[in-house]
Amino acid sequence: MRNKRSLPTRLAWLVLVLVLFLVPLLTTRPYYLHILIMAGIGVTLALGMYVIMNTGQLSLGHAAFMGIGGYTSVLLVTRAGLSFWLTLPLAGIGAAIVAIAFGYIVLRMKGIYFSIVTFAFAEICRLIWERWKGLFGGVTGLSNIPRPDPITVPGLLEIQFDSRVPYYYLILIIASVAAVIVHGLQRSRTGMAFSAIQSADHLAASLGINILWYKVLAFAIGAFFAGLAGSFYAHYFIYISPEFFTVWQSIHALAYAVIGGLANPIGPVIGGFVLTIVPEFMRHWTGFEPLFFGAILILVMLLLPDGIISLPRRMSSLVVGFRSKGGRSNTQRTGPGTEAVGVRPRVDAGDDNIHQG
Amino acid sequence: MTGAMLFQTLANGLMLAFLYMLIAIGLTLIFGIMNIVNFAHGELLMLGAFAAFYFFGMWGVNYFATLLIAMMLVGFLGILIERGLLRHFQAKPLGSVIVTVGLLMVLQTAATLVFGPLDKPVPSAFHGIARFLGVVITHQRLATIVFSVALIGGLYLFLQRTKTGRAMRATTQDNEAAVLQGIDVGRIRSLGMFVGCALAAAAGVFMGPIFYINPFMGLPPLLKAFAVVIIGGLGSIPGAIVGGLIIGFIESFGSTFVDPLMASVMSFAILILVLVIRPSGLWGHAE
Repeated sequence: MRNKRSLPTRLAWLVLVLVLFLVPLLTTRPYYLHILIMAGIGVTLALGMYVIMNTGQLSLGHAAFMGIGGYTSVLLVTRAGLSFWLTLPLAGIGAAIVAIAFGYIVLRMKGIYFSIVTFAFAEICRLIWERWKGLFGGVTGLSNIPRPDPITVPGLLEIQFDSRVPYYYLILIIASVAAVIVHGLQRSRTGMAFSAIQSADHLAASLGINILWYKVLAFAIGAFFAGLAGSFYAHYFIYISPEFFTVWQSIHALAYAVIGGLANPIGPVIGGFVLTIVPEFMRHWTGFEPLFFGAILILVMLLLPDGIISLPRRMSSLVVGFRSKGGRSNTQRTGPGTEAVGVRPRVDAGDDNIHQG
Repeated sequence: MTGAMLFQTLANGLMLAFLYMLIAIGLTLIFGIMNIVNFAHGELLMLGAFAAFYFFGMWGVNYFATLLIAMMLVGFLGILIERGLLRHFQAKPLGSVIVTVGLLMVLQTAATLVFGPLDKPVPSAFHGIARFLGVVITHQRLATIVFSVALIGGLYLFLQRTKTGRAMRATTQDNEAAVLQGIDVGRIRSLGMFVGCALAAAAGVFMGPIFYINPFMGLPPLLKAFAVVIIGGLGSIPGAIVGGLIIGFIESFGSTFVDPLMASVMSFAILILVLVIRPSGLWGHAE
């Protein structure tokens, strides 16, 4: 098979998940839990972008799907009286359906057109939410959103959503589900089709792979995650408004995935974590945040295009370069590396990764 | 709907069309030469508008001089951006999108911090109102149309009649062939960036007296310009002109007879329609 998950790697994952599950036992400080919850949302969004970008597409409309999920969930709960536990998956599915319809039209074109159109789509959605006061509450949005219904296991326990702890576990589960799906995709035939399309879609087509269908699928999966995140977001903040779902949000999701690295699902996880938590320490300099974000985005693209997860490889190749005389450093970005991934999708591939569909 | 209202909407549509044309031509030129979509283009417009605010509005510099200064300043900023940043992302569509998006954030936030987030007014340079055919149009708007035509006409002459202009067109058509012809493609890229950014700045200077300006003003025109450029075909200047007219009139008529939101939605719908029917745009090169 392609990659053998070595024991140390599996162990590391297990430890990470264990630690994350135990966090609320170590601290119940709402502020820390809040940051981790935001990180969880970020990771979910980043994983969605990861799936989309690994078919060679750059969507700038991720926030729109988050918003679609959020508003769908809120409206179903407040107007149709459904339970949050039903509207959460429905939010994801709703976003996915919109993505399928939209993607079917738009993913046929050259990648750059796709990026521009998703950019415009995000803006149009936001405008609709802003102007349609009756349904979406307009600029002021909708407030007093009901919290998720308590989970009751008769006779055993009842979980009320009146503190951050249950929310924390919920987003942890959502993010974990997303990570598991992404990981499962990597090894499946579908995942291989994605990689093939990302690297050389003409060749993939010649093998009988229906490029459009797979691109739409990836787009829908990404939108599904965004929809879930949006629904969680709304019921966590108990408030939803168009200002959450702007182009900036899309760019943030993009940044998490790109800066983390697109070669491995751990990339968006790291990106989502780091880029949600670090800005929290910059609270003092509010207003500077987008500037730093943009600057980091640019710097990463210039200096570390394969993201944070390529750092170990870069460091080791630097060392190799110093050791061998004349610095025969292996700064190649394609080719076997130290990560346990076969094909390495990249954002800045030398050849034009964006082909016509 | 009276005839006067029709002509009024047409006149407004014309002005919008030319503004969008200026932005779109810059975008399409940059794409044609460098294969890069400049998501930060709207911010360059914004900087042009603020240049107008300071030079013309606050320091009393002559309007024409301000226009030239703004175009020069933003044009040179464009060259800096091209040489420092964009050059590394030739023909890397994904990477260039990300980088120009990052640039967008940097420029917009920097402007917010330096200029403050509030709206600022830019005084009119031309006072008075013209009336004809039942149309009421301020001299400022009329001047905007006239100057835009002049700039676009000047660009046309440059591209058709001068050696450098022809070299630029050659580079747009085929980078490698241009190199083989002995064209200094690096210089052409910088020049193309200069021209594109200067046009965006000009649009900003024109918009100043007509709309309030603020650091966030770059995004909505950018989106409209994207629609223009996609409808007309990325890389095609005639396409940008026709696309500009289409989007300008849609917006004017849509805003007047329906509402501004529907106008944007309609532009977007037309955009999708064009992409479905003719993916490379009306004038684009089918690849």
